[in-house]
Amino acid sequence: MTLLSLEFMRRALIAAALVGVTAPAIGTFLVQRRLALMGDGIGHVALTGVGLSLLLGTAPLPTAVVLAVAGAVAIELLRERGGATGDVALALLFYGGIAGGVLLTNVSDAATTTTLVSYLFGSVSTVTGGDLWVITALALLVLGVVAVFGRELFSVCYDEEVARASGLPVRLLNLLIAVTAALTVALAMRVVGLLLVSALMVVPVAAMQQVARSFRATLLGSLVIGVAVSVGGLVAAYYLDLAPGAAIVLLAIGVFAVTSVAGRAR
Amino acid sequence: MTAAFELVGGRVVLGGREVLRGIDFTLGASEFVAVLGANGSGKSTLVRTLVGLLPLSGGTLRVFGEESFRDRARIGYVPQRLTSATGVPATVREVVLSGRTPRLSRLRPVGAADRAAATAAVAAVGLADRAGDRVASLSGGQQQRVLIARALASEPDALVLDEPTAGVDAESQEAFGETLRLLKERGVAVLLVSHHLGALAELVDRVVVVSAGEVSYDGPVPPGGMPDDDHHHPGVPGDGLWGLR
Repeated sequence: MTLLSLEFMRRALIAAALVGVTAPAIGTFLVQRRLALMGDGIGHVALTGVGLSLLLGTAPLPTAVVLAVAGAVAIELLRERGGATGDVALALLFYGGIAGGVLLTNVSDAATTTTLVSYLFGSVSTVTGGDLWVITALALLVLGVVAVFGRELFSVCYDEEVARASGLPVRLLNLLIAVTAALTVALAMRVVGLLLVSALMVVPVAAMQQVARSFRATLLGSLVIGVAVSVGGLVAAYYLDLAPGAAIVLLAIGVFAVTSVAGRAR
Repeated sequence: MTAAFELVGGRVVLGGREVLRGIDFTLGASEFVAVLGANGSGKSTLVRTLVGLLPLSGGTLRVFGEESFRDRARIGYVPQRLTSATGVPATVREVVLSGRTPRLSRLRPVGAADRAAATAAVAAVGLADRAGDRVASLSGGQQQRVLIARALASEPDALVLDEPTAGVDAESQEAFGETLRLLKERGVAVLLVSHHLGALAELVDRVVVVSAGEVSYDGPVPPGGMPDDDHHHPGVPGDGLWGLR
């Protein structure tokens, strides 16, 4: 098979599969908390990290991780405060993140806005061996968090007030969700891009919601969909010469359309 | 036995307004107390303070005898509104089983005892045949019973219910009364916030009426009448407060 004989495609496929399993894992909790767009916000802030790395000449992925985590914590603290001020503050963070990324990239001599576009929409074929290690480590971390804290995260996302009354460390768990989402955004950055990462966190979950009865089935099913569309979209992009990130997301939306019809027919 | 809750001179300020103004409230172990009061009287604030959701600005609160109470899994709390309208589906069994979470250490998987407690809790609210169904597919009253079952799953020593019967269908009302009777027999302390006691009055050991952030009545359910705070101003027993509807 020619596809697997190519070194860069092997790396790309592994990276895509890892993102496919990780993004819906934390995405399920974000959707349950009605924070489906949080990944988007974090992605915007991570872009400033990319710009910063281009300016300073540091590695983009670790720098984006740091900025994404900082941004996620900021978003969570603003959200916790609630109200209209929080809403506006979130908007400031989102747009500030994008603008910061563009500005820093332009200031740096190393790159042009074209470089930025590869982070906005992904460039999975340029994933390096080093990237793959970071992506693998982050994916294991995210899946580990979901495995160990999943039960508590369910309680907090389902009913925050009762979770607090029953003595669960609600604030810590909320921050954990935010930080885990940030790690997911960073690891998915090279595969689907910062502007599309949120789609991979949300759309597989939304697709499973149409047909599943239980939380467990939604979570596990969305992981399967995530991997299937990531790998499938990448393969399709290779043979049809499409943009991989876009192909993956559109394939996920296609799955959603199918399950949503199936769910209605039931 | 130590009282489940003992609040002395409790003051709570919300948004700059003093909502509880020096309240004394006790829920003894195995006692069944109904808290009544008009909307805005502070009864929900009282309940939220007791379960640790709101900080006191004055007074002392002892929970099972301790001022810095940690073992919150001993208290089952059923909030007033349904907060279950989340995007991801969950079955009745999953939601009820999540009531065990505070009792479990992080790395321990859910065991047979947890499943048994959840199954018993689902049965106690009369939803055994719906255990595998999506919570969102149930009626409002049934969803309220799911929340009660979740609180029961942790096998609490005290149960706090904030207006659990508001807008609940007759079948659920009946199932709810049955559940409370069962708990009372088991010796669980129950604090019930309600507008109408109705048939539950016979279970109640004591009634506390809250008005304008203070306790205006604390005593037995008066014979021959049930509290009706929707049509009268609570506060002065004898002015028709206990009149028949």
